[in-house]
Amino acid sequence: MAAEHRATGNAGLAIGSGSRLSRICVRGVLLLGVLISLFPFYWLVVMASGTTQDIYDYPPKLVPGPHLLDNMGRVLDTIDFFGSLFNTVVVAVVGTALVLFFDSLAAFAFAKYEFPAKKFLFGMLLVTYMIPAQLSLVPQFVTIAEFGWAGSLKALIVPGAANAFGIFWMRQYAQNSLPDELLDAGRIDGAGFFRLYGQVALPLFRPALAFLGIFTFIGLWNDYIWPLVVMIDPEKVTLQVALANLNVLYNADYALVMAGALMSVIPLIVVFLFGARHFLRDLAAGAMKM
Amino acid sequence: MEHRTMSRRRFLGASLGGAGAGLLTLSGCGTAEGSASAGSDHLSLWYWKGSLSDKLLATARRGVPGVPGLKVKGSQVPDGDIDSKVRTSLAARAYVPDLTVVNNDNLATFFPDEDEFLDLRDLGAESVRDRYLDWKWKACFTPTGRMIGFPLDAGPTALYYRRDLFERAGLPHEPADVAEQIPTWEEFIAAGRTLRRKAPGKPCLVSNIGNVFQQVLLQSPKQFVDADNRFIGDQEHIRRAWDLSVDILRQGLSARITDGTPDFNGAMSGGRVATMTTAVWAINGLKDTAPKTSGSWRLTTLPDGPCNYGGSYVTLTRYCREPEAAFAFLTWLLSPANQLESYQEMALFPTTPASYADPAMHKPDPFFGGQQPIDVFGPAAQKAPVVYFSPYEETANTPFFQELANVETLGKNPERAWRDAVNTAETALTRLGVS
Amino acid sequence: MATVLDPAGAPATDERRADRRGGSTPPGGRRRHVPPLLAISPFYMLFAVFGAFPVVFSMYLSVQDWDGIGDMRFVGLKQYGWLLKDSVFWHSVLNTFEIWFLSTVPMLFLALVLAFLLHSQVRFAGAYRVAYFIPNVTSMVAMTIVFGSVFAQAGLANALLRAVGLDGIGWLSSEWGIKASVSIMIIWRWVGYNALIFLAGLQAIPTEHFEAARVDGANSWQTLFRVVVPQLRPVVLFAAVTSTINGLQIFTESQVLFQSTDVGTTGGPGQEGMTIVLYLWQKAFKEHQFGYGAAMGWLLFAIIAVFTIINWRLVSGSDRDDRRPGIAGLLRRKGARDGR
Repeated sequence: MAAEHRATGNAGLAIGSGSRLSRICVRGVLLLGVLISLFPFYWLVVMASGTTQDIYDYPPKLVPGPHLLDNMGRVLDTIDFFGSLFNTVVVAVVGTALVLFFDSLAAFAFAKYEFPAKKFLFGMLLVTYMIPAQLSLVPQFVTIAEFGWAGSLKALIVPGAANAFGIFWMRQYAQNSLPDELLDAGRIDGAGFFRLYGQVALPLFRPALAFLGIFTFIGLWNDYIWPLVVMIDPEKVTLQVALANLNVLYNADYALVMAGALMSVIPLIVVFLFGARHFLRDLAAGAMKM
Repeated sequence: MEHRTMSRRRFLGASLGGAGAGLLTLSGCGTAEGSASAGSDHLSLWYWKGSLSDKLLATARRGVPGVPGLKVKGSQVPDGDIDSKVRTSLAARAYVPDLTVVNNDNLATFFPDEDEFLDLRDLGAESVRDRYLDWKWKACFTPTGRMIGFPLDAGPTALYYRRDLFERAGLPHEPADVAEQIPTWEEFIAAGRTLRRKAPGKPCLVSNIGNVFQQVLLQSPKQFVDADNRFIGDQEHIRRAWDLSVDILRQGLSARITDGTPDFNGAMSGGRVATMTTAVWAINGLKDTAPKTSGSWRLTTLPDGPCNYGGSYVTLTRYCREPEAAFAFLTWLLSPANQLESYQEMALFPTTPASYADPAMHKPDPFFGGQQPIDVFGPAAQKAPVVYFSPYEETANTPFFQELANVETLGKNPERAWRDAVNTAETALTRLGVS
Repeated sequence: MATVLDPAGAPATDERRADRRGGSTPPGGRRRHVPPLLAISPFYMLFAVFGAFPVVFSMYLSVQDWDGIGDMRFVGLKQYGWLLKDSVFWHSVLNTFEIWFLSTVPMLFLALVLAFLLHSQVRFAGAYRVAYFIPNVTSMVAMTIVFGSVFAQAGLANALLRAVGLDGIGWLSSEWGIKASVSIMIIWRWVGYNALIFLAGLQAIPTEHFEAARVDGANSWQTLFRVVVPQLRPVVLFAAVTSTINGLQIFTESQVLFQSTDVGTTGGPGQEGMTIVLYLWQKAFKEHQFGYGAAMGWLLFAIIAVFTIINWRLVSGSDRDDRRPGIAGLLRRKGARDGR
């Protein structure tokens, strides 16, 4: 087990373990870091709860004002917030589900089965990952347009529904955490490939799926350039694009724009805070495993 | 049109191989499905905030009066994005709006793709011709004689100025006096020096020099590319606009603020900028930005005379699901009576001369100390020079606006900036086949 | 999970083992290959249509002049020629590198410092991680809007400067102000992320190494340089490589920061915030020069490829015995940033 070899806490690295003073210093710097990390969110709340006039004032008001609900209400009147939230949720949920399914299925095959050209196919998978997304921004748009998918949520979901990174990561996990004995036992019971995948592999993949899932979800939720290009209908956009449009259209009404920004940020933070514990543990452990 | 579409599709299908070709056949799309309103009970109309009357749009959303069963739903697109969004939808042949608003100088950029828009003469446009300003009507036609635009509003310009600041600086401050004693841009700059010295708070003359460049440009009938597709942006008429703008900056009379930023809003409401050189449609923006300054603004003739800045058209794309109904909607929305409504509500200046005589156009405006804006904008609309816009105007003028901003915000050497602007514009135009 | 951190060798061991294990597939005819091939097919089908084809098509597009609506016009390699002479393009390349440098160097340094501090801090470790990671989770659009207001002329940043008696800075209206603003946003977003990666690297260093150092009588700083830095080097280099690949694709910050200002200022005053991808987007989707945009995509690809190769050389110089984990580590973190 990896943990046995790991240094834990100050046992390993001596910085900060010396005097009391240096411990306080360490804590101070860490807290300062937390403050900087979180301050923009606080400032967002301050601006979203004030009036536009407050924002021009000097010295600036540093505490939240009383207008938060009022400003949020105006956002709902101005843009179709729930409509774009819905689109974003659909893209993130469906996209994540597809990625988890296709990636784990392919990973299972790569990890536990032999088939012709396996080495070549896996090598190709790695190479595809080296192609930067922006290279094909234009041709990808044209391709999607030829399909008649421009402006539809399909355009945001389907092209990324199976990805090299996820397959690679799941395969690595499958090799380490899926004992052959379990599969052999399943085979004796007469289970085929897909039953073994569904009944044996998938339950064991759970932690890896959770990590890949949150990861994919965050990525899909925050994607900007692709929906900006491909979601043509102004009535049917994702949250990110709706917010960017609000920012352009109402840039004189700062309180409104800030309230919109706050509303767009909250759902994902809530999702993240629910899964944060598992996610960060896996991020840290997983990062090293590759 | 269809032929080209097919060949493109066949190319893609062939290169994608079996799977791709299969998917492509599944997703055929004709013009009807290409509309943004396909499958809905309304027609779609793209516009930017402030380009159409909110009230009339609200009515049209419920049902267009006089056109039974027709509903039109407006969608706001940021004005800097609308042309490119329309183009993107045309390229994708999906979610194309049935109707779209196009800004004055940008209508020509669609001329090369004129087939993407319906010819309004086929829908009986000639029958309402005499309601509209002659020059505006003529500007709706492409060089091949296709009428792709319908007159929305006009953009007569004026000098907006702070009467109180002018008075405190000892300058002429009544509209008639200002027009008489500040007839040229040179006089305007001289007045700016006085303001900076004598008015309280040492206000700047303009928020940025781009606005002045824009107006001097529009006072010239020639722009950057002539009717023979030759680049003329390095000639005297542009150079004069450039030099005047740079002069204002050099004399420290520009606040060097980008319009529409929080800093701009602060400067306008704080009296740190004494004039605006812009069109009639800017009235509501100014009222929103600087409500506290109500009563102290006045309007008068622009130095060197009026020009037309902005003012828009409505087009019908070839994807429009119900062309006849859409045209009926246009004649309702842009009738003299409704243009009058739009003027009162949104400061959209009518392109229907019949509206001008209406008493409703002659209401005193307290924001301008009881002055009637029509007294300035009315004559301006008639005296504005007719300007030739080529399809390549935006490509050609963008480097100039950019370099001017470089001079203003980054202190770039004006001569170097001018050379860079000319070079960049020429290079960009070469790519498009303009020499 | 058998893999211990050893970026040089461990995963390779796994792979060899996997190959041996391959023998456990049941005997049967060719048909036994059908299910696994079926299982991996969705990726290859999607890649063929949305990955490989656009790349090939992009080559075709880049030799055409096309506005996406009318007919294509074959122009040969002219697009590339124009691009090489396009001063705005080169300006955007320069800006991109400047912003990359201004953001990546401080970011990696701060991330290392934070990782060390977090490593020695046992209490509230979970809370710290969450707090440091949150900037990475939130949407760039929303946070760019927030930072945009902080950096406005009358914004919070200048108010703070004035409060301590300094002059305000033209954050969004001067050459280096713009670059600093964009860089600060990138740093804010990625420091915590990289710190957590480094922290994992630190935690995976076997305790014996520290004990050996202690037996030798090394103090904290000596331990840091003798044990930690050599062990972390591959991790840091990988982070540097991925920061390069992502840094060269900066878009959202610049686009959102200046989108509400006038048409003439894409990328901000003097176009000092114009990045390669922003310029590509502008040419392709604002001005609809699809051929030009496609050609630019290829030049971007070439630039990224050159830098990846340079970085790879640097990395493989340090552990020549096995490059595979190098690629793997790179993939891992690139995936992390793409979010796809």
